[in-house]
Amino acid sequence: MYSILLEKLLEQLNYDAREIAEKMGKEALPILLKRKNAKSARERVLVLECLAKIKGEEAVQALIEALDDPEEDVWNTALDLLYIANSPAFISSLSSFVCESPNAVIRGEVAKILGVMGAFSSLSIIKAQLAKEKDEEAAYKMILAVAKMEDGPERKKVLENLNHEDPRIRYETIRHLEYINDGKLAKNLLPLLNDKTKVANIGFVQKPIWQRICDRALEAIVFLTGKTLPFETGDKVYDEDQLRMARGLISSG
Amino acid sequence: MSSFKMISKRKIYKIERIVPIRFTRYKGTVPEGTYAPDLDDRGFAKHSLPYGTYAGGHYPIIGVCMGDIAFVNLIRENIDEKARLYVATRSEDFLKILEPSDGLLKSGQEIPIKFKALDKPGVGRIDIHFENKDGPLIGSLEVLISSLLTANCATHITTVKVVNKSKVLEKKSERNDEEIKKMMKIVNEIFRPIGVEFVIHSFPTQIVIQESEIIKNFLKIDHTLLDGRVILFGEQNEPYLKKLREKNIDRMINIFFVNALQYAEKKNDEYVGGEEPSAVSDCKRTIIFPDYKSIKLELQAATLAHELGHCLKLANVDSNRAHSDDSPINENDYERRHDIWSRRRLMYYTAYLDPDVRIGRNGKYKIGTYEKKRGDKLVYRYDGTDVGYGPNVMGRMITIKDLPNDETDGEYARARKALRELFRLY
Repeated sequence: MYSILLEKLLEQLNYDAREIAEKMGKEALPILLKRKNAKSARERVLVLECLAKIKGEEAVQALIEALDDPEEDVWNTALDLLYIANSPAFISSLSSFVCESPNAVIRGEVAKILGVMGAFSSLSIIKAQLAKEKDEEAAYKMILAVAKMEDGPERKKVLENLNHEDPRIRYETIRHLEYINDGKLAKNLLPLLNDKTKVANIGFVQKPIWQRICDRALEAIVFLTGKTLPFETGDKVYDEDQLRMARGLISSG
Repeated sequence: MSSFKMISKRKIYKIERIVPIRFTRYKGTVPEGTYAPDLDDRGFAKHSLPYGTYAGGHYPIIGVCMGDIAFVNLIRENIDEKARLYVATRSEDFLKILEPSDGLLKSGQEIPIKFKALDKPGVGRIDIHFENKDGPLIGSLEVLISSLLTANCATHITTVKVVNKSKVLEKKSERNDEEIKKMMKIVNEIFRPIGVEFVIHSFPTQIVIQESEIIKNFLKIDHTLLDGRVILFGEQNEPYLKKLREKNIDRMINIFFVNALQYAEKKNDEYVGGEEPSAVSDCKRTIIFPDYKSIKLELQAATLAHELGHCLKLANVDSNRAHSDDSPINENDYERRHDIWSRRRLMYYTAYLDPDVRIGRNGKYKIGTYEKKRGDKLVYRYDGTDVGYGPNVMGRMITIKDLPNDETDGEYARARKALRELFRLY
């Protein structure tokens, strides 16, 4: 029954297909794989969305194949979804995109995905590409990937950006520390708990609430240490007491 | 020998740039499936482009998508209206001139050109030659051809129920799918020049909010506000926003159409009804859009497009300059600009849909000190119709050129990057 429904939803480009595919699990694979090369790019995107709900090696294989799709929507969706649906069995084929893809966005993002996968065997490939990477943005993503997998000069380079003169870069680097996701890095955020520079509007455009660097640092400290504070965190501005409590999280080891 | 001379209509001085022709948006009826984009025709400064066969020039630019058939108007600005002009392109890999098929432009001041973008992203050029097809080049228009990027939008026709001990009050948006589709069609025409399309997925949505959830953070509130309209406090922990976000559809921009939307303003110890915004965006993926049935759909669509622009980082929401698009009612906004191209921009501040309340110096709102100092007179309409296209014709330009020394510029590249990364986990 679900098979007919899934086929119908895919035909209609109805995103409820994701939910049905998830319910069906591997049973949905034949339907989805049959449609992965559908003529319509929008259908190919939806098929990828469904495959990511199922996960498993066949789904991941299809996501990787989609990186070669000529449509930007399709390969970009595949990049998004490979962060959440991946498999160590494909480290080698993914690594080849880092050094062979003519698309700088794919080279950089795949490196970051390999970082999330903890694909240590891809480190040498990422480093080799980093040495010759001409696209600045892709190169920085490769630095992040290496920094996530080993505590070396690349990590040092990321940490240096916590002191960057541009507050937007300091703010963004806090997010990069969350990507690296090593609890040891939390102490590096301690000085930023005093940085009251307003950077991002977390309210509405007409009634802005400016999140400061110290607020973002507090949230990253909670994330990196895995500890909790006695108040709700996430996309907020915090008072002095709350910032003090965040300092306490680090000093308490 | 030529029978025509290149006649200038005006005396030209040494310091003046000679502009025999210009380009502007096509003003005729646009057949279904074809486009008449707002072009980026600001100034003559050298600019940079995101990619292309030209390293950026001084030309005006029109943005289209691969395969599009589009129209643009040529204006004989400082040249005789009978001057023999030819349109041609040397970028045959990128585009084809469809009309006039023989290249000869009709006499008259404003003449349409129809062209087709081929299936290749990049930059082509439409050239205007004087006298014959190989005659002197007197003007050009760059054509930026993009692949189409889509963003899925969940459109929620929302019912809001407020529950207290004795009663339930509710309001439901009166919008319907057909109307939303019409709005989105206009929105997508606005975004077409940068190769962005919003695809809608409709959801009936209901949120139920207990009065206690509203008032626990805010001590007192005027109870007439608790009737099913969405109330925002402009503070942290917005209770209505929290409820709406719980209904967000994953990996989509969520647009909540609600019956009414109002800010609550603090007066002494009580929150009372305040400003009623035409829409709000949280700069991420949630937009709240109230019913404004009396306002024409085109203007509502432009407002929605503006909010979607915020989701694509089209205004500088990441800096203290906030709405770098111009706020005519904020005295502290010194970045404000009032030239016709700024007014034409999609991200130009449009806080109120009723144009009559925003006529400037003589209107309801006083103008800022900066303008007073300069002695400016703000006497244009703020509804996007006073933008140089003639009476009651709207313009909603998204900038393609990346002009130097203007951080609000280069919206093409910024929006496409933001869209690509909109749902990225890291």
